[in-house]
Amino acid sequence: MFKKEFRIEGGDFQNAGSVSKQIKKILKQLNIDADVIWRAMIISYEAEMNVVLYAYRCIVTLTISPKCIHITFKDQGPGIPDISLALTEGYSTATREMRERGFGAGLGLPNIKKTADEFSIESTVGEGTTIDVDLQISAVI
Amino acid sequence: MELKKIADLLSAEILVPGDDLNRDIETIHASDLISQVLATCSRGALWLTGLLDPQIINTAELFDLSCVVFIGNRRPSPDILELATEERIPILLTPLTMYEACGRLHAEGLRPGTR
Repeated sequence: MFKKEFRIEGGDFQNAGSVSKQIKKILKQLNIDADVIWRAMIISYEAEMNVVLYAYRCIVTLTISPKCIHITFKDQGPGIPDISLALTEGYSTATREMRERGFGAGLGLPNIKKTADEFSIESTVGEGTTIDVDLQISAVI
Repeated sequence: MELKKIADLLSAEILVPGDDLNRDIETIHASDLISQVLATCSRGALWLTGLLDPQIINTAELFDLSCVVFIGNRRPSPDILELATEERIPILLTPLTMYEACGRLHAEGLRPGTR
């Protein structure tokens, strides 16, 4: 089993995407199927940008077993008052600045959910949000 | 269609050549919303955009997009070009509008890069 942690800082646009790049590199080194890597990147980058845009900070835990990639995004931030609303395509609380950067279309969380094989989300207002995803693999590791 | 032929078709300047200007491009995605690209763009597509942000390059690299074309002569900043060179993402700059660029590519049989 492979396990590694990463940190994302909220508001850090300078380094936004760097955690996803590191995860991609690891998955390629482990000869994970290219389609699985691509799906992992959808999940990772969407989640990473959500942290940069909305949260204070996040610990990302990547765990790879022979048949599964498990990623946990545990952030500290304002939390999500209505998760079912946040999972609705097109719903967004993005600021004008976020939209000017090309984000905030309200597709991120729904995209993570439909891309993952397993998905769960928990959130407490005033504390933060935790997202857990699984991707099934048939890798040689 | 080869990337260098697409550059000619779009009257585009090649700002970053990437690894292979002879690379075959089959699909096109046109959007100014990174969120939309993440949700709907297919792998290997050439991305037409007027958005100028370094996250364009990260998006292209992470999602294996073949090239980024900036439309309307919206020239990307040196830091964007530097990142594209580092990540080996081809960058073109066309004077055409989004509509004109899409029209020319569509007329040549390039397919939608949408999943």
